[in-house]
Parts: sequence; structure tokens; C-alpha cells
Amino acid sequence: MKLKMFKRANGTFGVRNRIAVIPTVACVNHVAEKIAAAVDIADAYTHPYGCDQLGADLTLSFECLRLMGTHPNTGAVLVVGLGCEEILPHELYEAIKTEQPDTELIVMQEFGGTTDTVERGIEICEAFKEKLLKQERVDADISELTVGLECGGSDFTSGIASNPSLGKMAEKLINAGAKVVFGETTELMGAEGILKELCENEKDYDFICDRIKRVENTAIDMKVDLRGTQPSPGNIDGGLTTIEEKSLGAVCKIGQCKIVDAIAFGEKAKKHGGITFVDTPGNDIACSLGIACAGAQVLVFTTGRGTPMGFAAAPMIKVTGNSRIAKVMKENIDIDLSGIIDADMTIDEGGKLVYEAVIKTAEGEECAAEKLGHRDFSLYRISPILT
Amino acid sequence: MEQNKHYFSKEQIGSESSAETAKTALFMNKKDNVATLLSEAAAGDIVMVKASDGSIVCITRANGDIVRGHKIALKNIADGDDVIKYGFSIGKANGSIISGDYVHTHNLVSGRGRGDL
Repeated sequence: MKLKMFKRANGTFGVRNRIAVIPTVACVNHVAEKIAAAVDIADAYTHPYGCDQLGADLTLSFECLRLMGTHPNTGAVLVVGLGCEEILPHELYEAIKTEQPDTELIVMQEFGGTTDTVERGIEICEAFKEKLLKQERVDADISELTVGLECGGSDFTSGIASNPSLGKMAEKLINAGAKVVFGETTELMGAEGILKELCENEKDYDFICDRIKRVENTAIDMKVDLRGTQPSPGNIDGGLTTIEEKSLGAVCKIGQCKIVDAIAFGEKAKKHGGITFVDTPGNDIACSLGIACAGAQVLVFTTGRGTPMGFAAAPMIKVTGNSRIAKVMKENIDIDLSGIIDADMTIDEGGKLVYEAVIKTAEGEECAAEKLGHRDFSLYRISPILT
Repeated sequence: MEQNKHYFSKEQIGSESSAETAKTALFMNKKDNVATLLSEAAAGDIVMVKASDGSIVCITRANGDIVRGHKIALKNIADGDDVIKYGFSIGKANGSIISGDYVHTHNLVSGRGRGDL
């Protein structure tokens, strides 16, 4: 099966052709935002970090920004640096440029103040835009597509309607030849029994269980009750009593797909023929980053409580099984599957609807979050601020 | 499941009209001892418990008011026993639960990630 996508210099294919304005440190966020706001196909990848980072935490932040710069959906990159931060602007620029020729750099302490930097940044992005608008989609095999699964703002409808439908969609995508990834380690706590059945290799099952245990042990070391956030107050109000119940509903989104690989945050998914687990937090924006770093060009997000969030690097399709949210937050929802609960829609029909939406989105149709301008971004920090 | 003494038979519920006004709950797996209410139920309401294919698994009665999307017990569950949904434990009963009881944070606790204990 062929899809119309944008070919990249590094051999990958994107479903979008946008400009990433990447600040290397929080100090230049405003500058990045002003530049991106002036060019309609540019997004500011702002984040609170880049400075006072050490060791593995610094390495991961650098790698995530590099993976955003070389993401298949990114057509051109402007790195905006300050000049004294730990994420070295010149290094990041060079690392992205080797895969993405259309990359430029401005370092404020070398170039100038806010006004001049914004003006120069806009000039660079306008030049990128002119080139990108001329680029046409070409035929790409569906094996070039990676789809990321997420759930957030879950309620009782998630485990009954929307997540099982995603499961059917994931099975169809894998059968068609696409890669599929999922994360949200915390929200697998209690679903180990199902994961054991789905993992093809024992080492992947052990890896996932080890990562779940790390989260659990952190809560125990911090002497906190995980129930303060897992399930969240909204999840509990929505009928989910415990993390185990939330997890067993969340894991429905991988359906009967075989788990063929398990990777760390910041690693790329490699395998076809099954689903890849990525070790990410349940936190929606951190999970989006993790699965986009794994290579997902399209994200599919189920929500019972409703969330407007989008992601800078990839379209995020919103699916709900909750009829009230489908009405109240209508403009934020792409697919209403409440008919599974309130009428006679089947899970198979739900899966087909989501599958079709993924294909259309991959070929250029904008989803609700994109139309409304939700293009959120943040980094995922793995150590406390020490200095 | 039909043999469970805590379930009401269709005969016990009586006229068809009461069955028509019954509330519906969804049952996910044959091992489950709770089901999810698909509409709000008030104390005394008859609840028809259905599987995802639409077949009626059992019929019970709500002992108290239950919010839509929340859980009803289908069996007696002793204090400390597993509450089962999707075929797996979703935590332990905190106090004894009677068939028809509302099951939520007041009588079901997670055993995972409890650094506070």
C-alpha cells in the first residue's frame, strides 16, 4: 500500500512539511516563539531546560531535540541558541544538519538582541517556507509510516470503547505493513498478565516489567501514594478506581498485537510485524515526545474526559468513547466512538474509523488539534535540578 | 455465572416491564466479579449485566446509588479478596463487599505504588 508523503534527505518520509524552531535553552523561548508566530508553517519547540543539566539527563535532552530536528515531519530547522547553555547550540546544529540539510543556527550572544534575532529568524524561516511549499508529496510505502498510540484523561469509556478500537486499528496497521509504538509505562502497572501473553520475547517482557517496577519503587522511595496521580482525580471521577483498573483499560489500545520490541526513551523503533513498547511516563506531553522520538509521524490519542492537546512534531488524532465530551468538546474531537456504548457501533467498526482517519491524516488531512493550533512541546527531564 | 445464588433470575424480577426499565451494566471477562454501569442506577434498581456481544450474563439489583461508568459487585467479595475486572485483579476489597454494592474508592484499594504504607 502506498501513501503520499514528503521525502527527506535522510531517506525517511514525513506526513507534514513544517519548520521546527528549536531553542537550546529556556532563556531564548520568547525569541523562538516570536519567530514561529510570524511564519504559519513554523512551530516553536519551547521547553524549560537546556541549562543546569548534567550527565544522562543532559544527553537525553540533547538527543530528543536532535530527534525532533531530524524527525520525518520536519522539513527545515532553525536552532536558536543563547551561547552559554549546556545544550551546545553549535553541536546541536551540526548533529541535525548531517541528516537535515535545511538547518540554520542563530546564537544570540554572537548575533544580537531580541529584535535583531527575531527579525533574522523570520527571514530564515520565510526562505525555508518558500522552498517547502514547492515540495510535493510522493508515493511512499506504508512501511515508512510509524503510528504512536496514547491515552489521556481516561475514564470508564476508554477501556470499553476507544482503546479497544485503537487495538483493532493497530492490528490493521501492522497487517498493512506500518510500524506501531506505544508507551506510558506507569499505565501498564497491573496489566503485566496481558503483556506476558503479548510479548514475543521474554527479554522484552522483562524489560517492560523492570521499567514498571522502577516507577513503583520511586513512589515507594518517595513515601508517596501513587494514587495521588494514578489514577488522577478526573480518572477516579470517571469511574476508574485504581491504577490496575486504569492500566487494564489502557493496554486495550494495543489489541492483540504482538509486542516485538521494547526500547528506552530517546531510541528509535526499528521493527515491523508487531508493536514496539517505548519506556515513557504516562504524562501526555512526555509520552508524545517519547513516541515521536521513536519515529511516530502520526499520534492517535484516546480521551474520555477530553483534552485539547496537540504535539509540535506530529498530528494527534483525538478519539473519544464519551458521548458527553463528544458534544461538549466537539471541536477538539476527531472521532466519536460513543456509539459503541450508547448505540450499536461495534469495536471493529470503531477500529476501521480510526484506521481510515490515520491514513487520511498521513496523507495531509488536518486533525482537530492542528486546525485549532495546538502544537505543544516540552522536554522530559530525568533528574532533579541540582545546580 | 448463572448459578451464583446472589443473582436474580428473570422469574424473580417478575414482569417484563421491570426488565425493560432495568439499568445496564457491561461485563468484560468471565472471571470478573464487578461490572460497569452504563447508566446511573438508584438503590433498588434492577441491573441487567451484559457481555460485550450483548448477551445477558446475569441480573442483579443495586444496593445503593451508583454513578454512570462506575462499578457494581456481581458477587460477595470478602475483605482483602481480589476485585476482578478484565479478568485480572484491579485491587483488593477494603471491607466486605456484597453482591449489588457500589464498588469504588471507599471499598476497593490498589496494592501498587504505595509508598505511604
